[in-house]
Amino acid sequence: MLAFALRRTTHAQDAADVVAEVFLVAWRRLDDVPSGEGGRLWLYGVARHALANQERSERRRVRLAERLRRELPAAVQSVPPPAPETGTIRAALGRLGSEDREILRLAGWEELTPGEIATVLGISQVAARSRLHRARRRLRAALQGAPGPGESNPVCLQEAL
Amino acid sequence: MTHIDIDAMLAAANPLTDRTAAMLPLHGAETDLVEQIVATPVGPRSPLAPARVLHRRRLALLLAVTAAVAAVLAVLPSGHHDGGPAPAFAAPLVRFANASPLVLLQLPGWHVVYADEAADGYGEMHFVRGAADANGNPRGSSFSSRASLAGRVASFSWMPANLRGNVTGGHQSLATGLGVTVHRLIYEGGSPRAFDVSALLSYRGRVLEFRATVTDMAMFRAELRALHQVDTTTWLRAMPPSVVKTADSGETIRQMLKGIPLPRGFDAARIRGARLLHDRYQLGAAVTGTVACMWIADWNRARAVGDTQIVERAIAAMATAPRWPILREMAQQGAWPQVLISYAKAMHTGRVQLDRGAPGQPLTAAANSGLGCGYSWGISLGSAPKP
Repeated sequence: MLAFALRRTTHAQDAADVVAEVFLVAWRRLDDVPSGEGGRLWLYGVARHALANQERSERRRVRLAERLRRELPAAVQSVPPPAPETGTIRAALGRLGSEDREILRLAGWEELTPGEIATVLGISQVAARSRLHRARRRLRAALQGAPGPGESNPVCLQEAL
Repeated sequence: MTHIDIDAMLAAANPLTDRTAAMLPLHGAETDLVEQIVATPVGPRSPLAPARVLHRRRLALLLAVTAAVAAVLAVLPSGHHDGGPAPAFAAPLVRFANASPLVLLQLPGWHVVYADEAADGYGEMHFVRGAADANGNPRGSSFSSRASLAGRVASFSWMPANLRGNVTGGHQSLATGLGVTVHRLIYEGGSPRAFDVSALLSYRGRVLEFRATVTDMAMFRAELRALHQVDTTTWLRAMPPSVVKTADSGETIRQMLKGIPLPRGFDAARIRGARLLHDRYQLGAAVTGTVACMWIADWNRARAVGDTQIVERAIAAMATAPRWPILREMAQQGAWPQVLISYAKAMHTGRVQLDRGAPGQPLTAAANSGLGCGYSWGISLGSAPKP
């Protein structure tokens, strides 16, 4: 969950807040958390809401994660920067719409199947497959018109997307 | 560039893997978080939830918080196939045909450019009107321009009805050439003059999805009406050469393995997905990915026990990757060879080379992510040896 949040936030402190909020929600709504693998997907769904609220600047700050907020930025500094040859695809991802980008991240980084993506996004499996297919095509299109790796700028985790 | 390239490049571009996140030096901050969470009021409990179950589940949740890693590999279940062989085509191709709904888009000028199947009963075909380039795109088109694609591209996929999700509703006025009407119509985006539409329909125990880029709904209706069920031979004759030539996967794999040094224990029959029908490029990725991952696994295990002979043998074997004929062929179509060769080169140092003097990512983690050793080909690379 920490990786999920870090991959989607600009600042590590925000990732700490998201993780705290997700598990607080899970703690309070444990009756609703599916058992088994479904639990992870449920947590991803909560995290997506938390991230969306954060982007809208409406999220109530959860002050549970003060120490994690303090520790995480320094910890993240130890993460090696992305390989330069991945600059092209990161730049291409950045040019996609948020829906396309998110479904590709769920498939490529969270390694979710279309069925699992459907659960996280609250859509049908058919729609998930369709959207994933479409997003791959758009990413391919973006790559075909992409600048070379050396022309892309982001090199650190926070700037990777 | 196929979806395998896209997925491999996407995985390689992951800025923070779960494994790396799990190793972040947090000095117990996550434990603090756990203690604070459990100290918060839980609220009213559902009358249906026994206290003991909740207690166990809360313990599990605490473990989840502190573990911080949730890596679950997507492993395809084995598939179910039926149908007997036909004399004119390779048996795997006939099996694919019989596992499909045997539906074609039959309009003048349209032809199949791509066909692929997954082990869970999912399959898809792409159609193009007019000439296509080597990657199966309409010649002269651009995927960033719907206008250049309108009336020239369509795709068709099928899946078992139990994967259909919520296919409800109904568009009785949208007829297909299959004798069924469209259950759901999905506007996928675009401009009024060039847009994407998907239609979902139930047909003979499957859900079919037809998707096209069109200039107007009249064009889409015409394409829907041109979807026809055909006999096996007609369907097989519509397959593009890249699929037909790959259908005899045993022989194709033998050809692809020429010039490739094979690791001990390699068994071509055990290449994951080899018995499914693939485009030649994707089969090439399965073959070379399996070989490369086995060599990297050998290399990793040998390093852990200090067996320099095997380490050097694995490095030498993978150093030949730029000369593997199948990779040279695939390099014309996509980035898979480039990714694989970069990992072969990284075997000298054990880390994927990064710029600015950074230490780089361990090769095993990078290859697992970029080549899909575990989740695509079912090959465990083992853990990286302690530095």
